[in-house]
Amino acid sequence: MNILTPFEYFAPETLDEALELLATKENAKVLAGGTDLMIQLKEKMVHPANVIDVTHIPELKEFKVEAGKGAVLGACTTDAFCEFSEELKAKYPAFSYAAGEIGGPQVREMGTIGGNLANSGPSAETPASLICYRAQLVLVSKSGERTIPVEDFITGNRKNCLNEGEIIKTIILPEPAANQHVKYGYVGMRSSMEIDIANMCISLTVDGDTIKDAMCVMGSVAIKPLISEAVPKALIGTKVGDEDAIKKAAEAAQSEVHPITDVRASADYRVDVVGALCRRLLREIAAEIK
Amino acid sequence: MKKQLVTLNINGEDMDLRVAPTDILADVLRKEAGLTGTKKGCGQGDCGACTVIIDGKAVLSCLTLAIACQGKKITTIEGIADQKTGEMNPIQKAFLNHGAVQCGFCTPGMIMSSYNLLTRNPQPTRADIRRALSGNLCRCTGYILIFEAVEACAAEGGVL
Repeated sequence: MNILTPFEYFAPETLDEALELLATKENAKVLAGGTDLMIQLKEKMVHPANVIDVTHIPELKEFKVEAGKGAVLGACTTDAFCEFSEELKAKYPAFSYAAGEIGGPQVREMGTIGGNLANSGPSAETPASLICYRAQLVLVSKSGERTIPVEDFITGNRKNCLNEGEIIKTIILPEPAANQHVKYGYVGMRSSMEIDIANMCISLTVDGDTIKDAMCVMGSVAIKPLISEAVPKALIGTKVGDEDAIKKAAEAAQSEVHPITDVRASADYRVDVVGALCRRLLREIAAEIK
Repeated sequence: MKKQLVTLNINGEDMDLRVAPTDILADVLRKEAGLTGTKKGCGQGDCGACTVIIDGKAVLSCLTLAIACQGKKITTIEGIADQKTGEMNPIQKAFLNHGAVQCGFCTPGMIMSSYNLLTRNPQPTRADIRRALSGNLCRCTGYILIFEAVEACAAEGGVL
């Protein structure tokens, strides 16, 4: 039986109450789905004196998708909700797919998108697609709200720009353009309950079959999601599905990553995976457009 | 650690239990509520042996604080049999009839995930079943007999 270091538990029912607790309780940790925090508690990686369960707060469970107006997700929206939501599948398929590849089914019923972001693990599934969809986060504390793009939120390995007493309130997804095509992919040791060796999300904005804009975000190959500078350069102006451009884009992606060797994969293998993912996703987008 | 009295609704019954804020639901079910059907395997959310259903969702009781479950409906493996007659649920019978049980340690979790799948999707494909059980590890059966048991249960009228 795991004995956790003692803490006090609070389950505020309003956002104001939660922010007050976060501002006044010393050494507090926010509990959402618990799929990361509970493990950190069991492994004695964190020793909070106070645990503040934010899953009872209506504002953090907001869900709004409107035609032409993007989407708003409360931070406590579960991974499983995003996996199964027909509206999200239709509008943000790469994000919905990425949410559905987190952990296993039980983990996805518990885990939240806000939690996945706040945990800021380098191998997290959702940041790459959220960055490709240009998602913004609304952060809230007692001193007010601020909005920040997802790419600026994660600052390092399990590090982000949340201040003391501040939590993620909502995730705002802008309306994607009709000619924007986004695909997410990953490679892991098995299809479920694994931690990605590498993951990637690619967004192409096209005019007919010419690539007008491109974005490539890679996970698990750096301390935080890596936004490629070289891949868009290799792709913009080329035809969708052009094998020469695909080859150059994959090489460009590989030139930018400096992954580590760990228990899941060697650095060399990760570089190979980055190339394979880049080629695979670009071919998938080409097949979707044709 | 200071314990406090909480009321947990387990298998349709309100139970008053003394729980510390740090107590894990899997431990409380087994040691305080006496419901030892729920198994604790890895204790880290990897194996699925501790799967229970909370408010209609199959979740991991080893990563859940018991105190956070106040006001929620918890269903354990003991709660899916007919509560009056004690007759097994069809999914339990299917596991027995199809040899889907060997050592049995993963079985409660497997059954809870299968039960949850069949309540939401009464006619799952093999791919649906594999995906729904992908958070449950079995080291004995090789899974095939488990998938067949779930298919047979669906074909024979499901879990309800």
